[in-house]
Amino acid sequence: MKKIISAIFMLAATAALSSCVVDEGGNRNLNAYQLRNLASSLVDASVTASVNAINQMVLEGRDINAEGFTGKAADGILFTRTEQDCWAVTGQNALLTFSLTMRRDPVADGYDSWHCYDVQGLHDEKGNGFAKLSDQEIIRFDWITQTGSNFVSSRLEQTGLYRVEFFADPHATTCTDWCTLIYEAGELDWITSRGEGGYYYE
Amino acid sequence: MRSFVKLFLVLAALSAGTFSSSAQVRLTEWGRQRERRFNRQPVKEKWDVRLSLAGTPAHAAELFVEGHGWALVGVDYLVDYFYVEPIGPRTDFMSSLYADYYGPTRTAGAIGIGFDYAVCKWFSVSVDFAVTSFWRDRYRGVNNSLAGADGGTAFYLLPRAKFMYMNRRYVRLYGSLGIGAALYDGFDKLRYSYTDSNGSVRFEDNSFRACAQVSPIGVEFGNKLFGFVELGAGSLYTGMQAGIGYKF
Repeated sequence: MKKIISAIFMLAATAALSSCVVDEGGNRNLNAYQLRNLASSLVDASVTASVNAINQMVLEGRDINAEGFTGKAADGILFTRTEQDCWAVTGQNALLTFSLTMRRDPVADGYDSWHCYDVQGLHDEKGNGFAKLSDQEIIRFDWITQTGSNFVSSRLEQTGLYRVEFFADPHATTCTDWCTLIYEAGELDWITSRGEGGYYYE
Repeated sequence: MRSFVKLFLVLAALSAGTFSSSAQVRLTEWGRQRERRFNRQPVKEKWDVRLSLAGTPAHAAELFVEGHGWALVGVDYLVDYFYVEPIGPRTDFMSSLYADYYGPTRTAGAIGIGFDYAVCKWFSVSVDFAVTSFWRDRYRGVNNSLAGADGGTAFYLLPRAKFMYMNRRYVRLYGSLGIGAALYDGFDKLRYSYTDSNGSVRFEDNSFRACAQVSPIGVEFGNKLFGFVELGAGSLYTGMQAGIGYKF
């Protein structure tokens, strides 16, 4: 009986000691995954949205190469033709204000490639800081075709490099954190100032 | 002649020893039986007072850290699984990215005092008053420097029904069930304001709540001064509670 009671007391003492810390805490907001997530959302709301929008215009049969063409898409995206197969794009939505230059490589089969460069984006929260998006090399969108036993699907996927810089202080000149997004035919790898993440399939 | 006397004395001593030892055996057995009968009787004292320490006030910890208890955990999983964000990605991520954060949340467990009254051999009524505290440091998200501290205290008033499975003088097995009220002071996530559908700011305070505790098995050992250990789950603790008490 004494042994059983001693064992119960030992267990109770162990439980009491282990319960001292009930939550490990730590910064769950600021980590590599969050930086990647926020950075890629900026890319999605600007570059990816622009390419999808202009591609939709092509599918709808609009003459996007017409002299003086100006087209407005959803999400506040505005396309202005600057030269043959080249457009200046600006946009403003709830997430960011951005601009970029877009070029089309026409292909005979209709699966045109799109190139984006001079990408600049700004997510501004005034007193709480801001985030800047820029491209590090020309971003290329190609059609990736998947063939199954009873289906064929094609979608535009990007290849290229972005950098997003996060400024916690709205008056700072050097960034607090950064994130580099590396797209390879739609597959995303990333490196951040808070560590690396690995692959993430969009 | 002397040798006969010696032999007689030796035999007398042996027989006397044999007789006395068998008498001892009979007396000891009788004593033990009496002692067993005595120990099987329940304690006579009707009242007792107990001091207790509960190891894991897990429910209060959840309320302090997350702002919700166990009842909403399953709902949260369902919401995460089925919920489709209708308004697009959140647009205030810089403020959340560099928001203050907390270090480890600690507690010393729930410390309580309780009173029991034995209504009959197998049933007692109890009332427990317990208190538990939580504390943690707050850090700035930008540079990880210490920004302050945060703490909360929970008070419980828990009437309990206690059922004695075995009631002996030195060992008692029991189970108990309690329903009461809890006051959570400093649990900021239980006090918040929100904007309703009409655009009015409303204040909600959930810091006064019902609480419950189930302890299916517990053991008391000792007579007037006794110790106890019990296992259970509920608002007050999840795991073990132990302590000492005095019957009067």
